[in-house]
Amino acid sequence: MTVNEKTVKFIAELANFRIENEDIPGLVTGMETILEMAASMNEAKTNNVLPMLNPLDETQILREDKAEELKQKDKFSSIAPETLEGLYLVPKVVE
Amino acid sequence: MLDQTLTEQLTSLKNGDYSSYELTDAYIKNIEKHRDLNCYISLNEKALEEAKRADLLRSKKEMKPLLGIPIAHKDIFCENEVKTTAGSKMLENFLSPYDATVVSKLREAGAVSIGKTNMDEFAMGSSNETSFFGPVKNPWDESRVPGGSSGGSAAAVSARLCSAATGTDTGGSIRQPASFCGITGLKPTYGRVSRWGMIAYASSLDQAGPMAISAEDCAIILREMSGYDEKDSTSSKLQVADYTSLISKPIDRVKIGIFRPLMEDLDTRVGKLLEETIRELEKNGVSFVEIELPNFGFAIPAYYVIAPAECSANLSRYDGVRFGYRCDNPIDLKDLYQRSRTEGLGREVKNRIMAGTFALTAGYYDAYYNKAQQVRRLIKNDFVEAFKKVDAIIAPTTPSAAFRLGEKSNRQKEMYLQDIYTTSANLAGLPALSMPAGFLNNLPIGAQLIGNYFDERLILSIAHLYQTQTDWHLTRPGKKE
Repeated sequence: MTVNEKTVKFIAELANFRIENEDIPGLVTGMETILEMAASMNEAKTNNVLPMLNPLDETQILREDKAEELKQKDKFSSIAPETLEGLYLVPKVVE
Repeated sequence: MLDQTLTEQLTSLKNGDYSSYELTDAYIKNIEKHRDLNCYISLNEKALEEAKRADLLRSKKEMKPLLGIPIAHKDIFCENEVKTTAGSKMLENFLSPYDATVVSKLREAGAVSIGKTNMDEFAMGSSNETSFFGPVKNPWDESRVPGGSSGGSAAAVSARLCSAATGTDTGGSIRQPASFCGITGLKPTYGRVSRWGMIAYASSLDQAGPMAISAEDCAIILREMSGYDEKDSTSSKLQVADYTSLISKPIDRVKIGIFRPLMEDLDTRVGKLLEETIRELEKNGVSFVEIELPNFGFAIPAYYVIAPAECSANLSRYDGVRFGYRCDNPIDLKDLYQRSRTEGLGREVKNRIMAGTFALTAGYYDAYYNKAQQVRRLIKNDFVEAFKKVDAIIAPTTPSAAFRLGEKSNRQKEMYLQDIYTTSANLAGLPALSMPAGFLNNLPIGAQLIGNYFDERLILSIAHLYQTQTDWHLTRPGKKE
């Protein structure tokens, strides 16, 4: 798998990274190393093999549909970068 | 007292040879003395208070299994109102609002929390060099790495800067540093220990486990940290065995599997040590048979698709809004997200997020992610077949002893191949441990035992048997002849 500048820019956009031109060669190499290693999996015989999502193949445990909300609003607000009256502050989205 | 194992310390505390306060204080002084090792990201300022409380409980005969034992936590475990960084600038000032289940369980068992150990950023690394807080040095040779990602925990146990430590293992992050630092480290079966409050890297692979001097020490900690937790729906409801009392019971007719191709590809000096380990166990009644693991060679490629894919999803939460690093003066929301993530995360983490994001994109999902999950099943099936013939499997933990700081930091593929012997247990979800098995040029090296699902007891018992016949695990840095 060859990774090029266009791919890196596209993936960086999806992953929410701001990349500069000088970062691109490093990221190309970084991604290529991983994807080249991954390519060796092609030799594995996986026809009709069910993908394995959980090592124990267990189904999700369902909890009772009961609210157990802990009132920790102040505690969680206190670790946020910026809040106002208990709300998370971000730059204006709608003018 | 710092030369003792955790098990011996419990006896000494019980006999009144010294107090928990004295023990904790001795570790704090030793931590100060070895600050250059960079094992800890932060120390618990209340550790001595906790130790005093433990002594008080002991005086009132209110006993607990780990009462007064100073334990360090890898800085990936949330501890209420304690800085929890995951080795990242992104969480440099993050005060956790709650305790991880592992932390609360060990506290309930009476342990004193002594501090938070250094680690590769978000557990992504095999040398501890990706930590935002600088690399940890190997106590056996300070020009070398301690391994990773639980490098701070391994080095702290090895240098006697705590009685034991917690670690996490996604692809070998407990076992590889345990091997490099000459300690015992166990990755339990997936689901044995709750992941609640353990900062996620790759959720279907991550598992917490104990790191200590001996298998006996690991058994005590494992018993206390294991069990079902309603806050982690992947934790198992299977009853936790009393590993501590079972560990000394004789193990009859145990048959261990060897996958020969692994031994053949190995550095001959590492292979020789492993052969000696096998001979030592044979002398003690353990038999060995050859097994086949035909898909073992696909573990690294499958791991380096699945782990990055899961990390790309898990780390999308770090966006500079609710907690963690936020960039200065964002011009709009997109700029806030992008610059906070770009400035807050390190190079290796970005590499893995990028590769994982790619593997999950439409058009490549089947070729990479789906294929890796199919390969994962093949690897698991191989182990299931092997365990019809044997009770456990022996393998190397690492291809070599600890390498030099900086030696592989720009050789990404070589670094990834550090995990060549360890990732398969994570992919299959099996328990595996590394125990000290000798020295190469005065550097420790471990042997790996892989057990069947939820049979931590047996691999701990085999390691314990080995440790009753050898003293590699008791040799400490600076004290080896």
